Amino acid sequence: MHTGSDILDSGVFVRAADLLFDAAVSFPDLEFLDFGSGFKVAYKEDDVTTDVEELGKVITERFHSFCKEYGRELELWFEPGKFLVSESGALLVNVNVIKQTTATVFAGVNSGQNHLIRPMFYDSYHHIINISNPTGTPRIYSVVGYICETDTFAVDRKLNKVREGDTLAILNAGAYGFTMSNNYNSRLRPAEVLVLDGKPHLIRKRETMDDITRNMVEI
Amino acid sequence: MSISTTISRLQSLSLSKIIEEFGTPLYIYDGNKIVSQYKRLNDAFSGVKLKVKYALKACNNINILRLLLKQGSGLDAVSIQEVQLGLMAGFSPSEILFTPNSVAFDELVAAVELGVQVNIDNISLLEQFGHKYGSSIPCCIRINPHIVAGGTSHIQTGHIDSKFGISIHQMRHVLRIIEKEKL
Repeated sequence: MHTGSDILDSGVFVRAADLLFDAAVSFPDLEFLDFGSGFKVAYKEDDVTTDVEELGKVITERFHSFCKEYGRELELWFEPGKFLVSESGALLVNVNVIKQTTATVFAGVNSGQNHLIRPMFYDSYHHIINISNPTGTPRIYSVVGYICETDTFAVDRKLNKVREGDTLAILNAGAYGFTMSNNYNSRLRPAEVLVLDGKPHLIRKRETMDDITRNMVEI
Repeated sequence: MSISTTISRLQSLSLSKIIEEFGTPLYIYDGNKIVSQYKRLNDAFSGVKLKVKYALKACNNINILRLLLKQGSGLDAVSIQEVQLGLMAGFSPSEILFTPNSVAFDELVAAVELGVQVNIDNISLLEQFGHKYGSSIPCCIRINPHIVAGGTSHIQTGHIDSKFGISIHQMRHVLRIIEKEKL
């Protein structure tokens, strides 16, 4: 079943499930029903997230009564992406420049839409923290990337005072971050590190110039 | 999990040492958090025979695939390359569900030859699948129930004119194909 990403509440899910149950009775040889996914995780402090425990209760009950009616116990499948990995990941970037214009203070970082395109592509909110200055006085910034194109990670965002050289962490970067990255502006893709039980492991090397030119054919 | 919990979890990872060692820009992933999310979903559905098929389009690093494989997860792949990546990671073909959109029929054939489960989201491809395989290879269909969900208009893909899935209003057509092709 396909619904769309980010299903807010169990009510919507149950409506979709009921439609799927109605359709499923016409197929006598089923082994499983796949409910897709769309569990919502928190990107902002006040975000409403999917209560999977509540959803589990409601769907389990409905699924059992469907299986009873169907005559066989089927498997129940989900295809989660964001739910499993979004909150686990962050994109760490360094602040190259602070630029004050007449109305804005920009923090320009060593990354951009080439590494994390969700804010620009989907207008998604990604929470940002200044990990170099966690107790600094909060100020208002626009966090922008180094790509020559609309490249704004955050507008009018309150961050602990940002200085050139500080490292910012862009949160919820575990899902649709690296996999949607590209080489625009001939920039290199970042490295990836997986932390397991407190130990960091390099799991993808930073690209080099060779990766940019590898498939170019000189004539 | 709330954002503040995410922040404190992140801060417990000794980020400054990681930055010093690996530099920036850098993607970091907390493997223990991935495992706990997997367990949370399994616990929430412990009353049914649950199968989690991780959608690797979200994050495709082979080490993250293996971490989830170790927990008992399967995979949801949307391209033949994702299927190949899953096989390289060590998933058995039967644990991989291939759910592509707008692909050439050849790509479905390639997936069948690799032994993965195929999820068809288009009536035209379902007919072709029936011509070629009849009832010899099981397949799934991806139904679009037109429940509009989604955080932003860009990822709302359940609407009536969506390119994803076979409309729930076309089930009669699907059943006729199944009958004719003995799918």
